[in-house]
Amino acid sequence: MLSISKAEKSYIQAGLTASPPSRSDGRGLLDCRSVALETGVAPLANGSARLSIAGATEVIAAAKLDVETVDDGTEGRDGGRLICTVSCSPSAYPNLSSSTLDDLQADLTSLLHTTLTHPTLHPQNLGILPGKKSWLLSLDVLVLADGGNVLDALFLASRAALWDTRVPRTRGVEYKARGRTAATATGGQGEGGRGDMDVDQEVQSGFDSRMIHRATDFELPDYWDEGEVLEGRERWPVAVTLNLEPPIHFLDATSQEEAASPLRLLLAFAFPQETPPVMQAMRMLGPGEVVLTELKELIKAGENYARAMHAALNTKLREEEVRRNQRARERFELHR
Amino acid sequence: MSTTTTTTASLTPAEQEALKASIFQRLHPRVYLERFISENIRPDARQLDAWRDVSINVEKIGSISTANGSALVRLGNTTVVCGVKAEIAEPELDRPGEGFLVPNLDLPAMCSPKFKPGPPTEEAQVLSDRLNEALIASNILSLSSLCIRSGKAAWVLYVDATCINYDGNVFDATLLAMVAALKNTKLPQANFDEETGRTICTRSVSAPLNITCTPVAMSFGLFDSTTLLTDPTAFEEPLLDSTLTVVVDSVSGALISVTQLGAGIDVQHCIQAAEQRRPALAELM
Amino acid sequence: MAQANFDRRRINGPEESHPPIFGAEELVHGSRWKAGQPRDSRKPEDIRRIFLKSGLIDQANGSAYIETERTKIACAIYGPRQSKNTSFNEKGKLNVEVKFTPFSCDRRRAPMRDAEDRSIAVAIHQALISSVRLELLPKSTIDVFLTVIEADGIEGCIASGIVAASTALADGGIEMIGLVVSCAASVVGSETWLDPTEAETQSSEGTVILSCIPALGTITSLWQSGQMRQHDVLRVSLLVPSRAYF
Repeated sequence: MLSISKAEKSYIQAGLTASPPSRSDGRGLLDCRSVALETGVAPLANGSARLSIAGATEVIAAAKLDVETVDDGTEGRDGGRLICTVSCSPSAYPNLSSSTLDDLQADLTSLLHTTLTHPTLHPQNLGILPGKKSWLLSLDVLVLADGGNVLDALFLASRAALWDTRVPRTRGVEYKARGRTAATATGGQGEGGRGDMDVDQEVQSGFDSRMIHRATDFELPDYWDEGEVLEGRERWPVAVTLNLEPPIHFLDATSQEEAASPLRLLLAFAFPQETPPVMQAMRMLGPGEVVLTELKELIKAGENYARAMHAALNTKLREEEVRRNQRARERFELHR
Repeated sequence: MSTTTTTTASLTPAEQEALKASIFQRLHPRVYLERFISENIRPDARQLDAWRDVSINVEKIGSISTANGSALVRLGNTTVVCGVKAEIAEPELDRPGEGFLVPNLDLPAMCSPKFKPGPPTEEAQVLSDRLNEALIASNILSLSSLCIRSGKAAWVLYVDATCINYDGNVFDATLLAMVAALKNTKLPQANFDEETGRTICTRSVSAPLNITCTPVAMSFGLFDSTTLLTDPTAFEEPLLDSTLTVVVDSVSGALISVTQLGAGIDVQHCIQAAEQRRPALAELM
Repeated sequence: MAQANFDRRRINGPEESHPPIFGAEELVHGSRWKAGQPRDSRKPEDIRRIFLKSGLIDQANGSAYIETERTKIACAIYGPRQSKNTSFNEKGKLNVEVKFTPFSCDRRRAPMRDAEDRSIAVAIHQALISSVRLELLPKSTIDVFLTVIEADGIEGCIASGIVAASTALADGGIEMIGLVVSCAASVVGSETWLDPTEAETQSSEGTVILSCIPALGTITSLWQSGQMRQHDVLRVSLLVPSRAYF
């Protein structure tokens, strides 16, 4: 993104490959900048997180659930679906024209979307009524500032927001027309369908049963209940970007370092609890080549970095949950 | 500059001549063409009134399994591929018993250096419009045969053509490709379900379209207000004063339309030339 | 599909239309592969037959056409020509644009550039960029235009597109450090299937597309999605180059 002069470029490259290596902010090659994370930042979203890398790179991710009809003509699918969108604030990239910014957004969106929507990651609890309704989970990620390493930040923030997401509990409701009103219910599929309903457990429901013959719908049993977490939330991957400046590689590049050594290898790993770690995405980005033996080493190293990052993120996410529970309790006390 | 001299030096005298000729062609296209015409021959070694070879391929490369019907047409070097996609829509309110035929031609940046990526160029828009008119005027198939249930459901035939290689007279080639693709199109059997209001199709039963007419187009161009060039190439086209296209039914020979852009062309002569050419195209179809 | 689809630059159909819906009994779209079954029609390590021809588009500086069974892609190279933007660039620019014909997929693609076109173009660009000697072409642009006539899976499109584009670049006399070849592979159960079709990728856990320069033994692009174990990735990375020469 950033364009730097030749002299600056070779200065940064020389620093990275020197022994001992030196980076402008004094970090070692494999040291990351400090990362701050907070969940539950968007009160209206079903799950959200804000992540900042040393105040230079800032990303907000929010997940929102919508009810979708499952039908041949529509895009809705049984078992629900996930859509990821990345938008970049123009203030994060003041030097880019609007069309380049659009392309950048499209690239980031496609990377995040293809990685997270792979069928092997799909949460099993996004269905509501088989063949009728399901949840559409939209994950929107906003890049507020890019001080380098925006890819890792995107995946970390997305994982945190998805971890934080709660799916409302639903209960299927069946409408049965009594013999008396059967004629109206079957005769007119329109307004007439809402006659006397025999709802299980006598719940009076305000749902309109139009369009649905032998109507089946759902309701939220407890409006105030937060809901359950996404199934398989441990599976969401973490990504680590290895910046390659052969023979060395380094982590968490600043924008200047990214401009100086443009070849990157992005690795996304998931760490399921019982089974060995799996790769969820791998991309080579930028001009340059690697040979296979190097690649093997890089993937091995990448897995270790990703594991450390995964452990740190999980600890932080648990802390956040405790903190927010506590805060909620305090607020409750106050009101009482 | 130094590289150019070294490369030219390494060429044989014949190659050097060819290079000189191609530079001359690029710098002075009009004079270049004039010199050929004065010898009664064209740059591609054709007579002034000769047509380029045509081939229509619906079997091998022309068969596209994702389309309901398809064809690939080569007219000299001009190559056009056309695919028909059938979808279902609600008919227009004022024409409840009719389906839709939607022809479009795309001239992608790939086919010629004169096109840039992006929305359709002016040329593509004009050609799409002329193709649409030709198909409507010829009444190639009755739109009412596309109706599934009056006022409820009808077939939409998207006839999309893409030019792969642009070497002039794209209109003739595209019309051939569109008609060949339509003749090759099969629609699955469709049943409209009154209760659900949906159309359910059966994959195993399909029928070809009821094509009533096979229009073919033949184009001519006038160079230097005097010389009539048949089937102009991409090099000749920008140098023409006016062009004329004759569309006829290849089976009956009935004249469907004559479109002229510019003036000074002997229409009668062109219609006669088209009539002579028609049997060859009818055979291909 | 989209409502505001009216475009005065094209011939327009109805506002809304949808692909035909087939009866439920006909959902058996060929016989679906089930776990444990061997691959039908070819061996796991076989690739589809390739038809590759250069120089089909005579107005282009270089061109190629590739066909691997149902995947059909035409590619043309224009350039090196002068860069349009004014800023001076020491290195040449490689510009890749991919276009799908509306009839190339099972569902009609409305003629509009969408995200998929762009992501395929980015993948092809990544595979080619390090093979072209752009440092010899200051202030210039090489345009690589691809038209997908028929697609059978996005992975196959990317891999075939890369091969076609590299061939077209060579046909156009562009200086390169080597030809780029590319192949996709899917992990299905315990097997690795090379050059998967669309139906095969759908039943696989993970897919990787590897592009390399066989002459130098280097990898120019790796594009993996879905679930794969580390050793699977490495196995595939070894397998693809060994099969990718032709």
